[in-house]
Amino acid sequence: MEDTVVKNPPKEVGMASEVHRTVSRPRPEGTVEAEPGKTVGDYTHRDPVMSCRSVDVFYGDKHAVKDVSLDIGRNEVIAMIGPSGCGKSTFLRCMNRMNDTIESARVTGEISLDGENVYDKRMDVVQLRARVGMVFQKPNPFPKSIYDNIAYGPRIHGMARDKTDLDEIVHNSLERAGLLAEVKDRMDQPGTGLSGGQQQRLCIARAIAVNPEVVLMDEPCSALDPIATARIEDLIDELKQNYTIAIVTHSMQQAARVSQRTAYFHLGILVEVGDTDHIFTNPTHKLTEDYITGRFG
Amino acid sequence: MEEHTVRAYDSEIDELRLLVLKMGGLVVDQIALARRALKDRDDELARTVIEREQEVNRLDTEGEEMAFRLIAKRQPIASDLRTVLALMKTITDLERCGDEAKKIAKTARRLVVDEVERVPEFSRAIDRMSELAGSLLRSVIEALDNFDAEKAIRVAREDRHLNWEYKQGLRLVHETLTQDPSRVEHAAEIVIVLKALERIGDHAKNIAKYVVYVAQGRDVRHVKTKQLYKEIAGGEDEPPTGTERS
Repeated sequence: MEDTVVKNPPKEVGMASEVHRTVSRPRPEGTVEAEPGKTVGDYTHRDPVMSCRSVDVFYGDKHAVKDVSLDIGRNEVIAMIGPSGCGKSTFLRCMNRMNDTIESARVTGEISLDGENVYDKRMDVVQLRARVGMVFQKPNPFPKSIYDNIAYGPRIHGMARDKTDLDEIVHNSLERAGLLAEVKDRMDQPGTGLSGGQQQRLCIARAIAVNPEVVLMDEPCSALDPIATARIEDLIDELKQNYTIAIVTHSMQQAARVSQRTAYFHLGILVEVGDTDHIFTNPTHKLTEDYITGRFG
Repeated sequence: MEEHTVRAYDSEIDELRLLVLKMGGLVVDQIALARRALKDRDDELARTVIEREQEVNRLDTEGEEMAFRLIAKRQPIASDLRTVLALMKTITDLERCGDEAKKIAKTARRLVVDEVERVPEFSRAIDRMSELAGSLLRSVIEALDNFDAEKAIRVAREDRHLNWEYKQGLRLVHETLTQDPSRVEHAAEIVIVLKALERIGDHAKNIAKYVVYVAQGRDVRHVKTKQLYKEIAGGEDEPPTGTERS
């Protein structure tokens, strides 16, 4: 601006140089504290597959999950986000009783699958884990052939009457996991010989081979490159037509891309849950806002 | 915890914000200078305004590029995303306000060339309107700087005074023409100026609504200002009072 060229500049001139340099940005107001059992947003779902009510998890003296209530809706993808140690993975693992394998873990509250109490003494845990499958952070195929990786579950659950049946299950599962074209000519080769992304899709195929209702995914893409990640995300989108998916992820963008609902955990507390569109454009709780915008100190 | 963990992100958003404030200041100047050029029949000043419009355009381009870079690199979400989008839209409105100031300056040049005789009533009407338009724009940019939705909506509500002045101005033009139809060319030029100033008020109102979007996450572009004034500023409805307003 050549102000000097201007004859007798009026008083407005110079406003541009008087801007203040403080950072002011709009933030949700209200308390910064999270309170157990006081989740912001509606934690219920009109058509829940799983219902969790007042769930607490302790590892010895450590109170890892505090009074969490949350529904997992049928055919939805729900993302669980939050900083490390916030209890999201612990909570996820409660849903198919994976925490049973940890000696010091104690779970209280109610978790039900289609109205059946998951923690009931009569509940067959092996059956439960077939109905609520799991995919882990690191692809963990069995040291067996590609075929046997998928056939293992259906075999132990007696899902196939004969070889033709089993072949069909293996074929369909690999197809649904988007892996069939890549492996159909080498079914007898070890699953561990596949690339990381292929191994993860093999694990997803293995989980869906036993026809689960829910698939729990614990950071399924964190060991994968962007292309393999995109494949898995595309697959999640496909799978939600037949399955319910609960995914724990450290990637905010992934949560935003794949899920319909998002739950934000902080220090073992479910702070906020809501439609993903809402959470990522205008979250209600200040802690959610701080976390998703990268202000978590 | 007001700042991002990645501090460079903060400085990039700040850079964009400062550009918008600078652009706002420049456009407010342009309006005042265009008005002065018209009033004083100052051809040189009018040319200065027209030349400085290039600077407004440059800021428009630079600001948009900055916002694109920010979106591509940082993938802003929640309040960050709303802030970047609102700043981008504000840049567009400010650029249009710059165009309106240029229109006034061009009119001033035509009136100088044609040596058109002054009409004190026109001059007074334009004075009132340009003062009001400049002040609306300045206030709304202050509201944007602090993301102050209440202040923004109070400013948007003031736009009706500008509209009222605009109608008065048109009436004046009509009366003048009825008495002296030979002034038709001059009157047409005056209408261009009145309309330009009225449009600046509309742009200020748009910016006010972006402020509400950033602060509250609500898209209120198509909500009546009167209603927003009631909801956000708790104000009651009063008729526009033209020159008697406080």
